Amino acid sequence: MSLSPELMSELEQIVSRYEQPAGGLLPSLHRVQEEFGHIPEYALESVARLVGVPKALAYGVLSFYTLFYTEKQGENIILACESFTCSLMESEKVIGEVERVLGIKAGETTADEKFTLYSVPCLGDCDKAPVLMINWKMYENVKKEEIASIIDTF
Amino acid sequence: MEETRVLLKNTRDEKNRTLSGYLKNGGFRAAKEALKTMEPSDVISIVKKSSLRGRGGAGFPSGMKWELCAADKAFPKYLICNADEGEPGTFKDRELLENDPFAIIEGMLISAYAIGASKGYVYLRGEYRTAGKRLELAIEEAKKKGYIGDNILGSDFSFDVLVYMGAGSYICGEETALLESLEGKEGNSRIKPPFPVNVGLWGKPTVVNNVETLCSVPHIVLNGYEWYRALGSGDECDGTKIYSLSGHVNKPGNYELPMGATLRELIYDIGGGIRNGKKLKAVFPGGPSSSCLTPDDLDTKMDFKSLALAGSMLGSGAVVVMDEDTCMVEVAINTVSFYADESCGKCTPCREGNLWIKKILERVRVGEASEEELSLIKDLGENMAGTCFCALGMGAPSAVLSLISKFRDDFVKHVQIKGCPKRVIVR
Repeated sequence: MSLSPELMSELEQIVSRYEQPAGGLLPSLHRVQEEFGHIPEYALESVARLVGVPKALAYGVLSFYTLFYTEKQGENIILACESFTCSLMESEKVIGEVERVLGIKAGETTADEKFTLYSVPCLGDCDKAPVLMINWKMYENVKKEEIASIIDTF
Repeated sequence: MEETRVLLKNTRDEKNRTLSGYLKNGGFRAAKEALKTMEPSDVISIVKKSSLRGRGGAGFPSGMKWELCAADKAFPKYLICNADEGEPGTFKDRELLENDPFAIIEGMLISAYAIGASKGYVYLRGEYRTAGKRLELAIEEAKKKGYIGDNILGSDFSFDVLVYMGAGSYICGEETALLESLEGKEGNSRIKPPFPVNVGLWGKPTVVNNVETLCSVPHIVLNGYEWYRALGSGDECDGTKIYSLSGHVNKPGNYELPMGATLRELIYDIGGGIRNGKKLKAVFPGGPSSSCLTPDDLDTKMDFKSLALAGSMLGSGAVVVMDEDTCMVEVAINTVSFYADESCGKCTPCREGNLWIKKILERVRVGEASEEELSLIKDLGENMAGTCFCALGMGAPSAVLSLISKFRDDFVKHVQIKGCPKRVIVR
């Protein structure tokens, strides 16, 4: 498998914005993930070749950053904050409820591939704790009782 | 007590996110003044005299940082806005990024002019998608109208800005790890010296400034350093500070106050006191990288010097409040787990130490640890401080050590009764 000429051309354009090609590695990975929902291995190889780094190094980068996914994700990605203020505001109850309603643990995808759940570090919205992000939309002051109906909207 | 909304003045005005709205609010007057009537060295001088200190956590004098970079003979130079806000309890930069994107551009413009940078990046954490979209729109508008690009506002000065999205890594908020990330690598910290002002992005002189720091710059240039200093509460407290208040208070939120407002003023006068009629147990004035303070410390001024003297730290001003029902063992586990997860892994004391402390605390939680192991945590923490390349290794044990020192009973009770006395439910 290989990336389409259109996408490759886009990536070349992206990489050209930076002083050195390696500066285009993360932006390229973002673009690939935007396209496929994750970064398949063949795409990683193409990007590595494009920016002129060894595949192993590119894989190191891919695996270092938590928002880059190597595997197919669910249709909807839920990021549930488990950090300091959210935990003071009982985020464990909220995350536990999401796990119960979806029937999965954090880090897993539902069998129907509709949802993937991650427990994540501070999302920078602490005055509205506890918070969740679903597909990059912020849900604030989330109560355990609201979880089922929030999930139902998807 | 009232807020002093200088940086937050226009963040509730939706039109402020458009160039015409921003201009109407007085935007880009400072940039015009700097580019047309001042030399770069004049700009540096005014910022030095304002005593502006970095608002990202380290508190390094901004004017001095610029001066060091400007003095370096190498080119090109880079100006980077550190928008990788990730300290738990900090949410001030998000408000500025989402609701005053042109202020960041103007701050970057003036700063770049001062140091002689021709290229700038906003390193934005990957989760801040709304901020990213709004910044891109603002940059596009600014480019169209000549506020970014070649010969800005008819001057000799040219400056280009790119938004660079992070991808989920707290450590990339540390300036050297940020530089590594910009260079397409894992966010490992670099040893200092050399400092980024001499050897930064691609080995060139680079200034990395926090969002709030950069947003302060236009105000200082326009109104003068004496005006800026007088906004603070005096005695080395200069300017304003946006404090992010969260936790068990009635009115959490971002509040801009004179630098050096007290914890009592923020938590009680502004924040409405402890919710549900509870009593205050402890507060982290600078998020979980700082040592905790107790009700005895409420009259401490929240500035760099006063908090350091009180044995804690201002950091980014993430004031997190805990009430009397809080289990300090759970707080310790939560904070050390964060650092264990976010450690880049380069330095052994940080990588291994955080994990080790976490494992001991998890056994304290279920009553399987002995009291001697609390001393072991202290030993580990002391061996991590100052032995790592970056401040994460130093900040990480701070919270835990202060909790054990000031709330030893919480920890000892877990050991004695072999469980949690508050029966806090853990997922």
